[in-house]
Amino acid sequence: MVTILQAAAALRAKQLSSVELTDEALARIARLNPKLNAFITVLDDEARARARKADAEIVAGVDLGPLHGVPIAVKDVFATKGHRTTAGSKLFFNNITDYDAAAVEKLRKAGAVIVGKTNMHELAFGITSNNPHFGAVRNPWDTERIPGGSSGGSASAVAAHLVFMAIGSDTGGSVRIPAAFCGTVGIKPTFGRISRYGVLPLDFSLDHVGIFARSVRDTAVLLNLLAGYDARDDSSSRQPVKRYVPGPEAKIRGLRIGWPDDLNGQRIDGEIHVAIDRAARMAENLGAVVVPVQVPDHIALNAAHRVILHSEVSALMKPFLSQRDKFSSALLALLQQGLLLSATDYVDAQRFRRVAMQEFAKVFQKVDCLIGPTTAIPAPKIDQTDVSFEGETEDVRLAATRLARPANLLGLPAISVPCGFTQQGLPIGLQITGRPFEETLIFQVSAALEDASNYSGRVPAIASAPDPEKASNNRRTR
Amino acid sequence: MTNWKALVAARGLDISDDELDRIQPMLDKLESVFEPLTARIPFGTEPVIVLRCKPEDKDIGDDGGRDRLA
Repeated sequence: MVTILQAAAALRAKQLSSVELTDEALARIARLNPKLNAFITVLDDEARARARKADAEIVAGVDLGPLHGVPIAVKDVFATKGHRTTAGSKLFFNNITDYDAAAVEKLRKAGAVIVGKTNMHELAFGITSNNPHFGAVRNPWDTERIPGGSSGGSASAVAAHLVFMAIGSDTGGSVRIPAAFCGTVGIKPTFGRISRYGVLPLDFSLDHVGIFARSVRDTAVLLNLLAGYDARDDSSSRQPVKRYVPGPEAKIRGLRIGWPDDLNGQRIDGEIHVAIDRAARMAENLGAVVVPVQVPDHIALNAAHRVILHSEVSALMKPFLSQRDKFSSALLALLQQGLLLSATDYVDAQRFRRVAMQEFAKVFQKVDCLIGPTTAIPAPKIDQTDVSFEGETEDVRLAATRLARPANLLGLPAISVPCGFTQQGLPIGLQITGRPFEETLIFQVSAALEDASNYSGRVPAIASAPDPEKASNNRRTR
Repeated sequence: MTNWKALVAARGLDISDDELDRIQPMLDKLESVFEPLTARIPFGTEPVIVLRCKPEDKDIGDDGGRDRLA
């Protein structure tokens, strides 16, 4: 079973129970987590109890919606009442809250079965998920490679079919990058669309809550569940929540899809370029008009993003900086950079941000959305520091993030959808970026492309291999 | 270019010479890209982060949001 909508239908038809689904998820976690290290905390007992309750509710005719009785996971930055929330950091090893994050509240209310808290990059400040305190998360398509980050455990768990969906946070691509590297769908909606209440913060003006799932429609169902105003989050938007889920036949005829002209001059892996080009042609075949558009320089956008990120994170973490032994040296180096930037730099970066938002608003007068690669490279090897493009080397972290950061700077909704695989079998992500609060449109485009291809929901070999224990039980009972 | 070593000393930051050597190339690169950008900002452009007092703020919390002014 691949999608939440399929699981929901099977639960309602009594073809299976939530207890069966949950036991299966926990068994897969027990078998595969030693290889993937996707979870920091597994909540076996609580999950089984919730599953039993869901089964009783369903039998009694109570229907809490498509997530009712479905096993899911939560990145370890979301407060979960009574359980620790570490943010992948030694600082928060024993941080147990007596409340749930807003997103967790909504998931529980919808009857979801939370089976665990996922591993991540230390403090969500990075994209490898090579966590020095909880171990490196691994990519289910090739366990010698990173899953991306910072929400690496959430992406790895969804891609390896350990859970049907997971939530994460995205400050500079931390949902979309792991979604692209692991072959899942991942969305970062408009800034303020999902409440950040109860999420351990990284950056005040760049953090977003995001969603991982195995299909576009599942992701849209989840956004409908999680979106909405929350007075406890000052950045929360009062914009009405629309119906995001595309119909059975998503149409894009006549839509104007922008192809950023600077993509041609950027350093992008050849196989990724081919896959994105193929997706653009597919959109044209479906009736959309692909229009080359001039967009603000990505180098400028990335620089402004980094000034804001370093400054805000350093301000946030300053009270903890004297506890040097609780940070990895790599993280300490990032925090120290922020301490050396000036107040003028920070304000200018926020002023440049306004200029860039105005420039993008003009772009969106010409097109309905933009497409391009989510990342310039496929998943690199664990501990790989550089990547080479025709003889020129680039830091892996920058190569992975430079196409994703602009949507955080601008607060725009952006989704990563699987659009192919490299010859080495690594997933490739297509990023679709829309106008503020136009998630409906980017879901429509991504659903149309997903329907016309077959890249979403594919199962990596590690997850499709039969469970040895189950196979041996089957042999015994024959 | 900024003299980062002097800045660390002047601000009394707990950053060793070795640590500074590690981050200096990244700071130099960021500065070289970011500084020219600031010239593109029209005079009077407000930063994205500005104080906005909205009438609906009175709805936030039982105390009318007074705790946020403390």
